[in-house]
Amino acid sequence: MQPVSASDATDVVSSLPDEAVTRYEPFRFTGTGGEYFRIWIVNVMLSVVTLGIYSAWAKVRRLQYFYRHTRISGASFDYHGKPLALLKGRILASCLFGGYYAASAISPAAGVVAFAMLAALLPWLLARSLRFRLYNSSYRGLRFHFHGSTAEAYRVFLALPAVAIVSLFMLAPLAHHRLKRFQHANAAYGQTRFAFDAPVGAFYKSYLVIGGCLCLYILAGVLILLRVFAPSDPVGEEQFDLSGQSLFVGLVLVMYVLGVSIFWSLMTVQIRNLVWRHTSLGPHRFISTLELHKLLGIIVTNTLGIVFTLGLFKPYAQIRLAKYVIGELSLVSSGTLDEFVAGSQPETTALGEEAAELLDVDFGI
Amino acid sequence: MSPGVAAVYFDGHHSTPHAVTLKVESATLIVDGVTVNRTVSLHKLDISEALGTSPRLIRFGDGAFCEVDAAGLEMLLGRKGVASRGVVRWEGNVRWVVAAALLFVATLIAAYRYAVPAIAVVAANQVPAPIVDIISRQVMAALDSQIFEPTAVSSERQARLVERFHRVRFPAADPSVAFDVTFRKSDALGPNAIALPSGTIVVTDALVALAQSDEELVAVLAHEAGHVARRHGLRQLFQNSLVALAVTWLVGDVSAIVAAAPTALLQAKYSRDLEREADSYALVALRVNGIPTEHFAAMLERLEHSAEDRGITAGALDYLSSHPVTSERIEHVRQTH
Repeated sequence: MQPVSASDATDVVSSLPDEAVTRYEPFRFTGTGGEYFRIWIVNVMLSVVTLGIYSAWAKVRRLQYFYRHTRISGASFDYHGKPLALLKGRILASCLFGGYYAASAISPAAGVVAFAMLAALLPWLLARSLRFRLYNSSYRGLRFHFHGSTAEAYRVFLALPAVAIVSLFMLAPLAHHRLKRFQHANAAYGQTRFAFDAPVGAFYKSYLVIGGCLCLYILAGVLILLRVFAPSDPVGEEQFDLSGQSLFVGLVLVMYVLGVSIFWSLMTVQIRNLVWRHTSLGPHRFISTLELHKLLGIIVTNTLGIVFTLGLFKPYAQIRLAKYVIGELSLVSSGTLDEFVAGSQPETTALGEEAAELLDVDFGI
Repeated sequence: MSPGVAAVYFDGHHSTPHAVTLKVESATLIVDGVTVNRTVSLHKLDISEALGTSPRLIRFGDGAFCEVDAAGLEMLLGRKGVASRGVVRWEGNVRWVVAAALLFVATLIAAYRYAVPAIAVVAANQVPAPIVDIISRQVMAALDSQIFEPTAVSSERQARLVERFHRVRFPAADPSVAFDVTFRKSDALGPNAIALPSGTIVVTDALVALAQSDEELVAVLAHEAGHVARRHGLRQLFQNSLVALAVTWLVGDVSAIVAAAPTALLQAKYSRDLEREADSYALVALRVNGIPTEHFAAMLERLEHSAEDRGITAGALDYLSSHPVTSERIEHVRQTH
């Protein structure tokens, strides 16, 4: 889910007296599937015809569509990325990853070296990507900014994930917390910084819930399989040999796909709600109220829709997801959103942005 | 003079919205509000392109802009005034959009059936021989450490088979490819043969035991030689990568890992196509060398029986399988006598 996350990783506005009345300003996504389908299909066909070159222009159009249809408090967001900058970044990033794939195809040793070089470069690229994305996002004419340092990027994108793995994922919630803090606490709307005050303990709690559900799901799955396929009598065993094998593989496949969808949805719901509940901008806070069964329903039907329409459902799927995820986000404002002031920051190149896109990195959750 | 249109003005420095009324008078835009009054000549304005029904932005060049809805802008400038690029007109035309959608589906199917396999052939032929050798040696080393054990086939039997195999002349084989038959024992693979892109063909002890004549083994080796001569290993690598890339792009941002299932399904067809191609190659090779193709059919039958004995049966999930149904292959061999 990239366009969605893009527009709400960037956010909102204002400041004022403590006495002010607290209001809920909901985010709304006003795009429609039918309308976006037209934009999407033209984007895709032109990208195919131009052997991918148009895809940079397509990306700008796609993001502008999603940004301008994301509204809060009577105004919409806007995206300012320039297609040519994106194209240059895309070409450079492709060379980088092409080099890595070529090296790893030739020999594992060369692949390891290329991987190490890429890994060393990655935090720098990701930090630039955040900076590019926020700089090119605006609301009410004021740009967003990202002030995260390169040193901290190396800590959250490289050092902490490594530590998390070495600790057998005992420190994974901590690494995730630091990553979110890096993204949110370093973002700014105009001159006003966002703040992030989630305690690490809350991440551990979320991970416990997610891990617990995952264990329960696997346990239930194994029990069901055992019950259905346990050879109860000799006659049954005979039948198992004939058609049972296919049925078994099919059932495992369905359970796997469903399990991945549940896991992904649960992770999104838990972490997104947690992260936004602890994000603030000046005196304003945020709240995200995603629910597992609703998100899961959208994910499952979206996937089925895309598979059974040979991809034509994809634009509708993206809109459905954006509508739900953005619609569940609100600004808890105390006072007006009218008093933010523009800040300044030099523009960055799109190399990091495009590298992150090729890696399918998503800053949404 | 145009009628007044309500809009919101932002100065680009503050987030304060200013309610304004826009009017056009003698090629000039008049921004009129309690807090803002501006007049800008129309040709200096930068008006954002239409994007469905999303709001239109009238930018003034100094960071300030007006947000106005699409209908309001049209009322302000007239239909001609908001004339847009071809892309926008394409998006607005139902017939062109439907045509694009049909073309999209046709493109996907054509790419899957024809373009991807064709690209893979070209790409596979571009891979230089030293790299093919390196890849093959690494695969062999991995197999040796994982699933292969030293062979128990007597060296006389090995030598006789290798000698018999090398007497076969292979049609249209790349002269740079040197076939090299070698033997290994593997419980995991059972009766089987594996071809590496460099030309190394590994025969398992179980296959040697299963064959009732050298000709039957040569028939299987000819099938494997087909994989090598037609560069199936590399082609498969390229085809599968392209399909995985396309599926990830299509399904990807909904849930990346779910994409694995349709990808495997799509790739299985490619694999079956390559097996059929190798079968056809083997048949030509056998006929050219005067070896009855019945040996191949007999060997396939024996392989199927052996698989059944080990509890592997063809079932409802054959469309998932990497090989065509054996009975279909046997029939193909017998028909082309």
